[in-house]
Amino acid sequence: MAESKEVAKKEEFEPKIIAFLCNWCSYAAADLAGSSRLQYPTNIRAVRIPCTGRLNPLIVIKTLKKGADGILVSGCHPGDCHYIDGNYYARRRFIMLKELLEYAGVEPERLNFTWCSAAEGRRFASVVRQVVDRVKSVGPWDGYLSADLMEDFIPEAGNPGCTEPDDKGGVIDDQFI
Amino acid sequence: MTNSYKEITEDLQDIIEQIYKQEEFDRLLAYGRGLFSGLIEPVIVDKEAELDLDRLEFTDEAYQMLSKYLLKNRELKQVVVAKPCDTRAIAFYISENIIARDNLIVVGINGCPGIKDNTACDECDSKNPVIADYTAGNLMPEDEFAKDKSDLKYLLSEENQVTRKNHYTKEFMRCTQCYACRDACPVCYCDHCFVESNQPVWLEAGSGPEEDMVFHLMRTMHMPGRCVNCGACEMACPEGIEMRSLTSHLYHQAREYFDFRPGLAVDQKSLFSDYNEEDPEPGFLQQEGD
Repeated sequence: MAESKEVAKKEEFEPKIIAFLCNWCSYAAADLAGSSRLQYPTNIRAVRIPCTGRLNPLIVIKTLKKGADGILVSGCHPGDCHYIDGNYYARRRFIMLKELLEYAGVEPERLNFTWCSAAEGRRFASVVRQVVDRVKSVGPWDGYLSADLMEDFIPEAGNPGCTEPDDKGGVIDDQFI
Repeated sequence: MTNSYKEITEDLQDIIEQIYKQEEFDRLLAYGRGLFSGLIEPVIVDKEAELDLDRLEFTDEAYQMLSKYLLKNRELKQVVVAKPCDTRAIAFYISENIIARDNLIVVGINGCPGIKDNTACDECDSKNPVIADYTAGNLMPEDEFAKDKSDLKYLLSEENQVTRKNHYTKEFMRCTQCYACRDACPVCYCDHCFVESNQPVWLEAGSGPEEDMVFHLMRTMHMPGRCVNCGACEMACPEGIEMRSLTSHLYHQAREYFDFRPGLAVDQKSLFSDYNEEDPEPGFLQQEGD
């Protein structure tokens, strides 16, 4: 019973994905996907940035802390950057960020990086579908804390006072706490 | 293959005596016995003041990074005794135009025998100074990683994601956010650090377990392309948190992907201020056939 409930819960899970889209390519691609009536999941929240080179890696760390289930960063194809080479810098930064977060325990499926030019509305729609599938496959993001460790730190409900015997064998009364 | 501490100490005393006679400078930074504690401490002496040469010493307790002490008085001409990792930090300063090369007289330590209890020395890949005006000890052959990387148990590359997450949650839970790791780090030199920034607020007030994790991730994210793998952060931590495995992992990955190691030359561009059109794209979303 519990299992089937869990499965049902997983199916219902709709991830919240923050998409950082470059103003010159991917944001226009999202626009094109919309104006050409292409269907794609509504899980992404688009944030328009001037260039992927503008995206401070700390913003991604903070976005995940604030409760996003996944991240999508999309910019112009290498060589096509509006600012000549912004996305080359972004690429290096993102590789290191991905290495760091994966090493510290964030699933790689949550961190997505890709290129979409302004003419690729169809590709943008397919990328969003792909990202939503990937994030759904790993389930909701419960923060940077390891859930199975946290159980020891959260006091159980209905047991507010300490009733453990102290080292003298007595029981500490609730009223002294 | 390393020199002994005694050889290096004797060499250092000779060299510094020589520098006092020959060179023009304002301040000397070296290691020596503390007057009261008996521990190895940084000894900072002005040229005019009298220096007891016998006090200067280099032992396996000389864990302070003297390169960090250079930053406070950048305008002075300073003589610094530098371990190989210190010289890499100094080369990084020069490449970032923080300190002028002319303001420095570097006394490098050849064939550094390492520092006690510093795990960074196990994976040291620079046994000789990168830049030096004088050198103490004999030049030693640069042997790449003395140990196999898989012997280094604190590097968790082999473990799975859940184990690593558990490990780091447990480690960083002890963090009290004293920022000693940042203060000890020779390549952390910003006047305005992200932890104290209130516009934007990167780190919220208070030290909860999740904030600790975010602090360490953000600190580590500043490190690739700067971290010279000296181990000062971990040596400084009052809680003994193993945070160096994160920076160390990025250090090795940057070397693998971009063949980049910071602080190897004074005219080197840092990792994030340079790019190569042929950079790899590991884990990027590829185009689906549509």
